[in-house]
Amino acid sequence: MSLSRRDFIKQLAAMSALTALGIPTKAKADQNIDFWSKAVCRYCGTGCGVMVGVKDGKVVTVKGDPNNHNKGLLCLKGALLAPVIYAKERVTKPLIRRNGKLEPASWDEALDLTARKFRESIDKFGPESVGYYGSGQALTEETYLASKIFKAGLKSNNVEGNPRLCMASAVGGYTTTFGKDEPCGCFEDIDATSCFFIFGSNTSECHPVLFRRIADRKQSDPKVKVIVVDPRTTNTARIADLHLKVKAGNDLALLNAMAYVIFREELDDPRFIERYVHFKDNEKKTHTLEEYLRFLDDYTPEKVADLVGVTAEDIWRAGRMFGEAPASLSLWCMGANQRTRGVWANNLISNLHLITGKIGKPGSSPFSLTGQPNACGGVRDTGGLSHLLPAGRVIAKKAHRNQVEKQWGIPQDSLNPKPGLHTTALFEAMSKGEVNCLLTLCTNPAHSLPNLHKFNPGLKQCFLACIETFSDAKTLEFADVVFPPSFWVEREGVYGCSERRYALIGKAIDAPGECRDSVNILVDLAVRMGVDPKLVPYKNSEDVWNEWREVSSSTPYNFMGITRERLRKESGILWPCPTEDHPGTKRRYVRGEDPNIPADYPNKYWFYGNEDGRAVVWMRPQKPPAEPADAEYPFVLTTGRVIDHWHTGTMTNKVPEINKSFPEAYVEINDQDAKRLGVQNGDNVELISRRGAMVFQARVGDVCNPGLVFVPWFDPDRLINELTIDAIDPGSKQPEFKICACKVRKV
Amino acid sequence: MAITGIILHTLGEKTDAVRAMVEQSDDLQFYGLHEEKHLVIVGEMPSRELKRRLEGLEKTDGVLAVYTTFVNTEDEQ
Repeated sequence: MSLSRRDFIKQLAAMSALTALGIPTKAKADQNIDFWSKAVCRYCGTGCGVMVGVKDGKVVTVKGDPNNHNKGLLCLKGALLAPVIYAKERVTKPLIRRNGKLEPASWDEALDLTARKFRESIDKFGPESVGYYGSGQALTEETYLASKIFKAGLKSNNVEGNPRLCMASAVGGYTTTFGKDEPCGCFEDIDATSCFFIFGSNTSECHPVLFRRIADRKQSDPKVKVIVVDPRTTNTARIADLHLKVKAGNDLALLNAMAYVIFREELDDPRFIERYVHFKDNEKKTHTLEEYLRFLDDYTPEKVADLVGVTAEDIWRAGRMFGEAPASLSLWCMGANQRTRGVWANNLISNLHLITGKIGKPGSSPFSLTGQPNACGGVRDTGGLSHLLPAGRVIAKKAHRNQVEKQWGIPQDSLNPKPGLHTTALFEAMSKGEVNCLLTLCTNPAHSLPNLHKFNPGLKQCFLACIETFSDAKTLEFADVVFPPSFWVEREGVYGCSERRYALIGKAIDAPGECRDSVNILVDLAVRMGVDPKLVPYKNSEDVWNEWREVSSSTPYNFMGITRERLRKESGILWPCPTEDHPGTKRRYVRGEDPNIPADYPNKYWFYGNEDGRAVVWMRPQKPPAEPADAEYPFVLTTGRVIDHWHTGTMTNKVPEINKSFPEAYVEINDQDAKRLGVQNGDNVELISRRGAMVFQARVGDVCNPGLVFVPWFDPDRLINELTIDAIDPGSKQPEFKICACKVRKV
Repeated sequence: MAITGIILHTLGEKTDAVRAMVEQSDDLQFYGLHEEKHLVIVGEMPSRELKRRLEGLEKTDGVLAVYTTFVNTEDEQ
C-alpha cells in the first residue's frame, strides 16, 4: 500500500508530537512501514539514534531509536530528514564543467579527468600541490580512507576538513591538558550532575535533544543549578539560575576569576591536586600551586568584572556554585572554540574541574559538544587533519609515523614528515597557486569558510573535484567535477558523536541514479591516480572499518571490540573498547572504567596521555579577540546556528516546513542600540565589517547584549561569512568566527 | 487543510473520556497515549480555524493543556 503525501505528513505530525514527549512512535505510523532500519541522525554532534521507516523502497519516516542514548527523542530537524533524501537538488550523475557549465558526464570521464589533473600536478609540482578537504559529516570509513590515500598513497599531508572550523580548539584543549583528544565523560553525566556550567553553547537550539535532558535533570531536582555564560539571552540562558551575560571576548578572565573564587572559598580539592595535577605557564614551565595562586591574584572578581561585563558578585556566585556542587559538568561549544584563544578557553574550563577534582566521577566532567555528527569520530579519531595520523598519533613524531607505516604496510620513513597545511593556509595556498587540485567530500567551504572574499578566489583558481550530494551547495559554483555520492541511509557506515559513541548507519534504501558510495569513489579515484591498489584493497566500508579497528588497537583509542556485528545489534558503543565482550567506556582516565588502566594500578586516576600521568592546569592569561569593536566599527558581530537550520542549510532548506518557518537569515540587535539607530523590528539594516557589507532584516529585542549583533549563518543568499574574520587560534588554527567588529546602519 | 501535531495533557482520571471525544471528532485522529496523561493526536482543519479549535480543546473537561508540535499548510498554499 502506498502512502499518500497527506498520510505521510500526518505521520510526521504525529511523530513530532511523540518525539516531543520523548517516546518512540508506535500505533498507526508503524502500520504503513515495510521495515525499520537503524541509523544515526544526519545533523548535530548529539548523534541521536534514529529508526528509518521504509515503504516500497523509500524512506517515508524517521523516528528516534529508543535504545540509543536519546531514548527515542528527536528534534524536529531529525524527524524531518526523509524529505532531504528526495530533494530535487540531488546530484545523481557525475558532472564536468564544460564551457562554464556543469554538464552530465560518465563516471569514467569524471574519474579520469580528476585523476589526470591530480597526477599532472603531483608530477610537476610535487605531492604538496594537491589536497583533500573533508567533513565531520562523512563516514568514519570515508575520512580514514581519504586520509590514507593522500598521506600514504600520494604523500600529501594536505588533508583537512571542516572540523578545523568547529572543533580544533577542543582538540587542542584536550591534548594540552590531558595529552589525548576527546572528552573523558559521557552523556549520562547530564543525569547525575548537580551543576551545569554551560559556556558558549546555545544547547537549546544547537543540541536540542541534549538540552531537553539538561532541562529534565534540572526539573527533577531543585538543587541542580545551571550557570550559562553567553553574551546572548538564548533559550538556553532562560533556564539558568545564573546567566553571565558577558561581553564577547573577555571570558578567559572570567574563567581565571572563577578559579580564584574556588581557592578563596576553599572549594578546591588539595588531595586531587597533589596527586594528579601540575601547573604550567605558556612557556610550558612547571610551577607550584603557590605560583599558580599568585597568577590568579590578577583575576579577582573585582579586578575583572568590568572587563568581563558582569558584576563581581555574580562571578563569586558562579565560582561558588561550581565549587560547592557535589558534581559539576561543563558543556561548551563554538563560543569557546571559534576564538583566537579557543585552546586557552578550553584549558581554563578543564582547570576548574582539575582544581576541584570534579572529573571522572558521575556528573563531573569537562565535556565539549561537537557541532557535526562525525567530527569526533570520522575526523579527529582517524586522523583526518593535516597534522594527524590515526588514533591520536601525529605526523611530526617519527615514532608515530613509523607505527602507522608498519600498520599500513608501506616502507619505513616513507610518510611525508612535514605536517600539511591547515584549513585557512590550504585555501590561501590555493589562491596563490601553490595548491592546484583539491578534492572535497561532503562539505561546503564556499559557504562555511570565514572571510569568503579572501578564500573563494582559491576555489575558483584550482582544479576542484567535489563529492557532493546537493547541486545547490555554494561550493559547486567553483567545481570542475562533481561526483554524486550515496547519501545517509543509502550506504552503510559509522558515525562517532560527542561522547565517543560510535553507532552504525545501516543501508536502508538504494541510492538514486548513478550515485555511488564514497568509499567506492575514493578507491576508484586513488587507483586511477596511481596509488598502489594494495594500499586500498577495500570492497566496502566494512573492510575499511575493520582495518581502522586494527590500526587503533595498539593505542589508547582501541576500537577492536567495536565490531560491525556488535554495531548492527547495539545502538552505539563508547571507545575505548578493546574486546568484543567489553561494554565500552563511559569515563576515561579512571581505574575500573578505562581499560587502558590496569586493575592493579595504585592510583584511582591516571592521565596516561601525559608522560608523568598528570593533567595540566594551565596558567593562561586574558587576551582580547583579534578584532575588538572600536570607534570606527563599534559593534561586535557574532554568528551561530538556529534550531530550524543546520550549518550551510543544504539539507534543512530542502524541508518545506523548515524553510517556511525560517526562510532567511536576519540580524539580532539589542533594543537600546536599535532605538539609538532609529531601527525598528523588521527594518533593513546594513552590517559593514572591514571585509564586506550586507543587508539583513532586523530583529530587535533583548537577546543580544548592547553592542553585539548576531546573524545565523545558514542562508546561502546572505553569506555572513563574507563579513567574518579569518584570524585563527595560533595553536588550533581555528578561525574566530564568533567575534569581529562591524558597523550597523539603517537603510 | 492544515495538518497539525498536537499533544493533549489530560487529567489521569479523565483521559479515557478525552480520548473518546477525540476519536469521535472528524477533524482529529488519535495516534497514541503516553504515561496515561498525554494524548498524541493529529488535527486536520483549515489553519484559519486552528487557533479557535485549539482553544476549544483546551477548554474541554479533563484537558490540562494543549501543545502543538507541528503545523503543515502545504495544501493551503
